[in-house]
Amino acid sequence: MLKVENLSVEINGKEILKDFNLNININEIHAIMGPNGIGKSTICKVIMGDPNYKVTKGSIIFNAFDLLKLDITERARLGIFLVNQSPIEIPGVTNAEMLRIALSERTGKNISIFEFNQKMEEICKRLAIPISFIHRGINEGMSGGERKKNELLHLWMLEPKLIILDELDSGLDIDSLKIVCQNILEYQKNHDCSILIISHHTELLKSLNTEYIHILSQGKIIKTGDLSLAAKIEKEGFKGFSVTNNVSENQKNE
Amino acid sequence: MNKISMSDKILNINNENIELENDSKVIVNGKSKITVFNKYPNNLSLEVKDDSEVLIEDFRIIEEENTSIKLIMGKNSKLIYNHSFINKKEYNLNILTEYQSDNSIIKINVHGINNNGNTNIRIDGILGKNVGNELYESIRLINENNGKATIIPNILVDCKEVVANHAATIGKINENELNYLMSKGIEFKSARKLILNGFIINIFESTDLIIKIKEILNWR
Ligand SMILES: Nc1ncnc2c1ncn2[C@@H]1O[C@H](COP(=O)(O)OP(=O)(O)OP(=O)(O)O)[C@@H](O)[C@H]1O
Ligand SMILES: [Mg+2]
Repeated sequence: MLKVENLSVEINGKEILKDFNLNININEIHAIMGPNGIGKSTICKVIMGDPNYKVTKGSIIFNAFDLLKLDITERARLGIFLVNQSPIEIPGVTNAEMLRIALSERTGKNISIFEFNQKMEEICKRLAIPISFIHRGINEGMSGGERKKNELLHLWMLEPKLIILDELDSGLDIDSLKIVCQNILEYQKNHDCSILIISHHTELLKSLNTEYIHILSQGKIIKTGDLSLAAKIEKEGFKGFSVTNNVSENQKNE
Repeated sequence: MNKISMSDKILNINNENIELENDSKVIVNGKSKITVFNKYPNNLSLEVKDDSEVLIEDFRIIEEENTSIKLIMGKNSKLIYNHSFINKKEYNLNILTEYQSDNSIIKINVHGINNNGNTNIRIDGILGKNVGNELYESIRLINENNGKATIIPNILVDCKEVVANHAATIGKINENELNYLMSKGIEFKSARKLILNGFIINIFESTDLIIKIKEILNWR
């Protein structure tokens, strides 16, 4: 489904990813772990198509489409969906307004308001968020945890095929985390989709039944394992893996 | 709501909701609300009497306007002025706030889009020796196409026991917001439109006004 090959990425002249490879098949759940500032969010944003990141080498193929030739909108319409580490707010633009436009542009059809509202209300219940969220400004004045749930409201409506969750657990209390994980699992059960998770926490990776754990260092994946690898990292840190933060520093050492 | 359109007359309002269309001098008593919807009361003087409260919601599409707004506060009074505009050519806006006594609050929120337009805002706050007054000014301008803007704030304070706050930003449409909306599968053009609309209506409290504005907005 997603194939990232020899990808090198820069931001403001600084190389963050170098010959990065990642393969995700349909219905698989992968996670990337690594210390702060190593480039985990960078991977997420590059797959989504954030123009601030410069791809200097390599390719990203998604269901036979060359993503590097497509803009953000086109990638989203292929089914890529990113929940950012800290989702921003768009004052004055409501969830309903945004989702109606997103859906009608995608399908080229007018959306039935009745069905749309009904579906939104069902999802709000499922996510345990007030129905008033439907007509609230996107993430406007919402707490960190509420924002994550609000993003899942978008997810249910837009029905993506590749879900990228950048530190989903940040800002969520234990009960909310449970609801959010249940929602994701339920979504995954009913849709053919794959998930890429960024997290520092084994518990979250466990509750989402993560199959593959990758460790990111020096701009690429240096080790892949199962949940036991995540547990080991949570206990011992990244020390045993010679994880280096800086790509160029590493080049000097080589 | 009463539609008011008269010149050089003093208008006394008392716990009322009015819509202003022309130059006016208004005296506010009680708790009142004033709306301006795409009309041009370019010389507006407003006196808020002791213990009174007023909310002004003012939306305009500007071709070429020189506008002067004077806000005079009595004791224990409160005023909120929410103003948004789209400027296509030239807009010179002067806002003067004056506190005649103590313990009053003014909040001024301005959101403007310079769509090829040039906007100059001068905003003066005279707090003087009076105590317990508060002044909050927040001005945000977005330049689109060849838009330009200047903001000149001036606050005169002669006393320690006051709060005076001025925040101003002039910039382009936020790229992160555009990218965010596009990441939901929305086209660039529609994303831009949503953000600009949101920016314009976001400062208003009145849903009626918001609906009216949305009906006439059309971006190029
Ligand atoms: N706009 C930018 N300008 C300059 N450097 C940037 C920019 N964005 C990110 N970086 C740098 O890129 C590196 C990777 O950042 P990234 O956000 O991908 O890290 P991360 O692994 O997600 O970290 P965390 O665990 O703290 O979320 C960091 O060193 C960061 O400072
Ligand atoms: Mg990150």
